[in-house]
Amino acid sequence: MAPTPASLVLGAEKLSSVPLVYARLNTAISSGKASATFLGTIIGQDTALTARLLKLVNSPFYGFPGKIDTIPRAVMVVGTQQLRDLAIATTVMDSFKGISSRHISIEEFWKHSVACGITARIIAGFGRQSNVEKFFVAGLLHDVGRLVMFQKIPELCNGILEKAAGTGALMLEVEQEVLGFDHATVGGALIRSWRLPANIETAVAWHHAPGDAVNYTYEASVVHIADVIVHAMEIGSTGEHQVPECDDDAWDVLGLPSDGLARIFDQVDRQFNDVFLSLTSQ
Amino acid sequence: MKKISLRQVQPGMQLAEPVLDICGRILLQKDIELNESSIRILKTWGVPEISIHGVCEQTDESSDLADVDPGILERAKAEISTLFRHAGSEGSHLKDLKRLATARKIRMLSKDGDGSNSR
Repeated sequence: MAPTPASLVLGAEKLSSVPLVYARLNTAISSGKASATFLGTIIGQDTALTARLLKLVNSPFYGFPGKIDTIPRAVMVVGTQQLRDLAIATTVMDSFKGISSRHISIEEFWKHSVACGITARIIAGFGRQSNVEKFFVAGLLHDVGRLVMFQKIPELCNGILEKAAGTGALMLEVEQEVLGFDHATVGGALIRSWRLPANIETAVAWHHAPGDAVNYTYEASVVHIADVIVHAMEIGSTGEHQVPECDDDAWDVLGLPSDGLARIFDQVDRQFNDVFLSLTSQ
Repeated sequence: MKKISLRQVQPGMQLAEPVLDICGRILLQKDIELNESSIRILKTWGVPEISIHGVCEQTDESSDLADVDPGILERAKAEISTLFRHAGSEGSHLKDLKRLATARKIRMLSKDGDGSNSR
């Protein structure tokens, strides 16, 4: 039976603690009981998560002058929803930790993904978004569909990889040609199965065609351009080694200042190493 | 009008566009002539590049590239060209991106000699 995006993500919600952590935090936040201390208690039950979040909060990601050494303090400084979104990001990376692949480098996969998250967050900052961490999560997850594909249909994916390498075509196009769908669609399906917010789902599902998204065009455009930029900077790889087709209109949606790109390059180079270490070190 | 990096800024150059800080506030007005004090402002605020009045560049090489080893320059341009092969028609944003990517690649190639982007 030919694979479909739905069949590929079937059971995925059971394989990861992402939906659980998100649900727990979200319940706390929407119950109105989300005091910094209460969130600290929930997150504090997971020492690994706590350690990672604190490392992230103390990195050039934020560039805070003093040291933040408790979750309640992190919540107060960074924001409740922002910390929830960061918790999602760290949980995602942890839940995929055991994954290996004979065909792509998992480390390079996450390097590209983290860089995209950082870039999307910076772009959203220029757009004066109130919660930039949401864009970090979307950028981090934008190619997670490909990870699922390499897990569930590794030989098919390897064939796609080799065909793209042999012809010089974009891997995205070969995916569509061979499977009838691509990693963006699979990624969107996975995020929906995790019951993460619709704006993150849309940003991931449409990150190669932001103009076709019915809503959340801004979010999709941010991730689209962030992906293009990270490819241009050649940080990591999720299998694709060329800059994907860039939607010219997406730039206008973003409204970057004229020196925006130069600033983005600067900031990404500054933040990448520390943020990557915070999310991946043991 | 052309864009130049902070490294290349000299007194006497004239701003073609106002310089804004990260919040959008004006640091330096359009058309002013840069002097030591305004250049110090650029450095303090970490402004990465500015637009100055001058001859429009026909190519997308910044004058940064004048002292680059020609072998590295050729390699960087070739690799970036392949990298961007499918990116689409070159609007001003993509041109900018290519320019910055080329400059960064040149720095990488010059640093570790084999261009490996190992981070």
